[in-house]
Amino acid sequence: MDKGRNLVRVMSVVGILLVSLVIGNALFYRQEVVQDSRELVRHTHQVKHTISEVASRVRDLELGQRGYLLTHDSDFLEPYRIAVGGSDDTAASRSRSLLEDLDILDTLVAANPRQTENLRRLRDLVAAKLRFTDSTVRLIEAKQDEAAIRAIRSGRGKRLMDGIRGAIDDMVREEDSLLVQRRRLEEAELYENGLLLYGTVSFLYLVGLLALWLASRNNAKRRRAEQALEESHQLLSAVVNGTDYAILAGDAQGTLRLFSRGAERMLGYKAEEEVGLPIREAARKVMVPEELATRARKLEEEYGRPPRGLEIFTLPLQSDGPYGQEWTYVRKDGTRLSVAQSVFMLEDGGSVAIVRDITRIKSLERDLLESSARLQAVVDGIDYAIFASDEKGILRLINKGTDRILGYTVSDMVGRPVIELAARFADPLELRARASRLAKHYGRQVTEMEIISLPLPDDGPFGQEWTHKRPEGSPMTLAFSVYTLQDPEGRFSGVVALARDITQIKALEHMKSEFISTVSHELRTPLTSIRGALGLVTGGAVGTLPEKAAELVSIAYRNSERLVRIINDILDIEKIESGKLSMTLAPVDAASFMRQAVETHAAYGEKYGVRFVLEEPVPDLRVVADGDRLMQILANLMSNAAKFSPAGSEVRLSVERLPGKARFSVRDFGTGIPEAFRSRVFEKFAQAENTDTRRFDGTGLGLSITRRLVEAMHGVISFESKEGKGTTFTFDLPLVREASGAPASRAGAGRILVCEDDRDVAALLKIMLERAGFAVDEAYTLNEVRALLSGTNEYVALTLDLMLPDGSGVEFLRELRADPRRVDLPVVVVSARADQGRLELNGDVVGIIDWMVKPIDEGKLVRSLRNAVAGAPGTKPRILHVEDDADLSLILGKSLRDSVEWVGATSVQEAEKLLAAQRFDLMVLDLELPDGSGLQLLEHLHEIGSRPVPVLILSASEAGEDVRHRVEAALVKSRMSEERIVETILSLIRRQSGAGDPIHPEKT
Amino acid sequence: MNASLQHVLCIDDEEDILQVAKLSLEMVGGLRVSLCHGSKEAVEEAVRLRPDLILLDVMMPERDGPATLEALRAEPASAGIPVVFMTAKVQPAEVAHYLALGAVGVVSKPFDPMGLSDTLKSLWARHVT
Repeated sequence: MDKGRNLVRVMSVVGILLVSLVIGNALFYRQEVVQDSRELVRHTHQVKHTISEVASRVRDLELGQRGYLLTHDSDFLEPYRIAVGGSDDTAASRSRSLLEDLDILDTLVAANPRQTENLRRLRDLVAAKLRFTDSTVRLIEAKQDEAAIRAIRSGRGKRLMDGIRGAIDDMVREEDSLLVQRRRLEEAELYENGLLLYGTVSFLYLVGLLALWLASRNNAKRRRAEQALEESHQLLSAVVNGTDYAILAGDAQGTLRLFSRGAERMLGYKAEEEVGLPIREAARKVMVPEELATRARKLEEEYGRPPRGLEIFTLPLQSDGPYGQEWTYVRKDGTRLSVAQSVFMLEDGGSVAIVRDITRIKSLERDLLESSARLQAVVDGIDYAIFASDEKGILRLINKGTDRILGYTVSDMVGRPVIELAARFADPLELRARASRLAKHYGRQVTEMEIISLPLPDDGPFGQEWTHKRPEGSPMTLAFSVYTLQDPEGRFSGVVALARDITQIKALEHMKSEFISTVSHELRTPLTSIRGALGLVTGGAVGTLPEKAAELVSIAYRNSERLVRIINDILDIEKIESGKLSMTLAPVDAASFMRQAVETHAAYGEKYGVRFVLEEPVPDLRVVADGDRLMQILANLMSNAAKFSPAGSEVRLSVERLPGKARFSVRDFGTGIPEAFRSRVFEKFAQAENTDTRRFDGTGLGLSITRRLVEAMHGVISFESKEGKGTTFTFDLPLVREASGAPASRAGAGRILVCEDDRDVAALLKIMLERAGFAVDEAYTLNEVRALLSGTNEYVALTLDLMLPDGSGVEFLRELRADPRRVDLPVVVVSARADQGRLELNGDVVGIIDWMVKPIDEGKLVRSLRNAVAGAPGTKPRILHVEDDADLSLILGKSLRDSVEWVGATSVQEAEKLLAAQRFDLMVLDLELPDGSGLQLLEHLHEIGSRPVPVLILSASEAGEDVRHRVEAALVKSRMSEERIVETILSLIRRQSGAGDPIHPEKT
Repeated sequence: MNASLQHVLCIDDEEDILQVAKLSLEMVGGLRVSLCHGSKEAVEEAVRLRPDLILLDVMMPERDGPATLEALRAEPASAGIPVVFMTAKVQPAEVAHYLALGAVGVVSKPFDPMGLSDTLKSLWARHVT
């Protein structure tokens, strides 16, 4: 851009010069031409002058001749003498002779032939005249005046004179015309010159104008530039002086030119004292020499040469921190400050330094570093694995404890996804299994992060327990506590996970429970003898004892009994605490259960003079509970209530329906629980200080066990007590979720794979499960199981023996859980060594819904499987509609398609085939069929299929009394709306799915 | 088979318990009681004595209760004698387990010496019918 402009400038200057040169040349040349013309004019004038000279001399000559003739005075001859040049008179010698003039004239007009001719004529005439004059003079001198007068009178003289005049005139005319010509020429040339000059002047004027314009334009530009410069200077100045940064600038000569206000404030020096100083000197005032030396040395090490000039400030070092170069400055008052300093070199060799006071930042940084170092020491020193991630799941912290626990270095994984580290801790299967359990619990897929961050209700007392294999292969149990972090706005901002090695604790726990179990059993052996012997004595089997002895023996006997209860309770507690308590949760009918409880414990109440009363009516509720354990709970609460009730009082039991749960209450009107003791009611071996001897009845473990049992059934227990008024213990248990509209579980069973190498047991299982409505496939080896499972997704559950010919069931379970498609498949372990397997797995594998030792409890097995597959796909109740009216079947099938699997048959024969081959939960039967009556089908229904299918008659004609009592219901098509029919079908299905018992035909 | 329980063989490795059981059954129940110390000679004694019922301890060194039961069942001469287990393990699942093994009943330790003979008598009666 600038180059182009410069080129144009140079070109224009060169052009102007060239043009000026040409014009100069032209002018010079023109000047010469004009000079020539002038010369010619002057020449002409000279010729004319000479001619007139000649003419004058001739006239003088004439006049002198005449005077001489008249006077004879020789003085008159003077002109003559001069003319001929013969006079020696001084005056005459001073002037040219006529002839000389003519000679001059001759040379003057030599170039002009016409004048030369004229001159020759003149010369001849002059010569003739002179001769004539001479002759006359001589005549006079010879005193021959007469002759002289005659001669003159002859007119010859006059003719000659006329001739001379004529010649002169000719010459003058000639010269005049020449003069005119030459004047014209000169004028023309002068005019041209004038034009040229005018042009030149105009050109120069224009160039001048242009130059002027350009200059003025440049001026405007410059003014504008100056203005902008001024503005930007002001702005810059405001910035430079307004900022808290110290800004210093030096020129190329190394003199400090700028010392900003910020610099004044920061350093305490005034700009006036600093500006003008050499930079080095100014720097020396504020900088620490050691630091300069150190940096110079470092720079030399890094760059291989010592820094030159300001390079000590401009060259970066690898060790420069996040703030760039950090220096210590010394203020005017001697105090020190830390600064970050950046120095830039300008193109002109000047330099700018920008300096920021980072004293506060550095001090905060130091504090932070110190506290973080302290924290780090704690975090690293602790025998926990601690790691933290941000909200994106990226690891931000891993402590050294993590390395120690894992046995190899992972603390270099900061920046990696947290799940990668989690995978180092846990078996990937465990992670996947946890993901699957979480998905089930929370009803949605969980993210990788959530596998770690979300809790599960069955996480143990130590938090999540993961199994880590040490590098040498031994397993290690890690307990994880995971805390989610929130930012001040309450958004999820990451997790902190703490893990500790609880292998030892687990081992100790195991030892403890083994020990307790062993001790308890060992204690029982001598106790059996003691209690037996004392029992016999107190029972009078060996005769009557003296009263004192009888009393003592009775004390011993009572306490031996108490010891037995304590041991039993300890065993219970131990079982619960070690997680070995097996709960079989199944629907329990509240009303009948409570009646049974009252009945069972009536005798116990009588012992204390207390009556158990069940508050009626008991709502029709079914809770999810383990019947045996529920009875234990009630027994504990009821016996407690009885013990603390005054004789003759009542203990009232009640059940009440709450949303989603049932509340059981046991209320006594006894002494109440002392205020001070209330907080410890559920603690182990807690008993209120009480002098009442009845306290010896308790073990101090009953309520602790009770609470644990309630909690194991997903319930909650609490109490209310007023001293002197009584106590009410209440516990809530979840209600069985009643299917709303869509029948669940029981009615549609699904296909189960039985894996069992003992063919007899397999056959037995098959019979049990088929009776419960399941379809069953058998597999005798693990390979068969794998083959069957890979072939289909149809199985809703698997029963598994742990000891199989081609492998361990435990291993297979792990394998199964590794398969994402099978991770949720419910498994019931049916094995002689189920307990051992459970120990081996130690909660390792999820989705095992139950453990069953052989021999098999059919009811338990069926219950477990029904609970497990409830809601699983392919378990809708199946309804067979035997109806030749295809439209009706279609309509009903459509209305019910969400709730049931609707299968149509149009003839007796077809229905028979279907019933024999498949399981149905209900048959809707038309009596009039193309190949016979529905009654035929009804007659030998029990012979077809594995179990009789409940029947609903839906016919055009009314069924007879004898038919009606054999079926669930009988409807007449024309009298019933479709909705009513659908309702009836649904209610029948519901009724079946509800009860755990076989369906008993009910009359309509 | 006799209409009432007469002769009980008690098998246990604990001498004291054997004695208490013997006293209890003899004195309270009026039964004839034979004792067998441990499971070693159990089958031999059962075959020799032909008791009406065997009261068999579960936890014994060498051969435990279930194994002894199996041995008794394996010997035709003792195979038909009803066995009642006596155990310190009284969890319902364990009780069910022993019953499933073929025991006619389970008595929990420590037993009630005054009620033991009645318990055995009623188990016997149920077994006979």
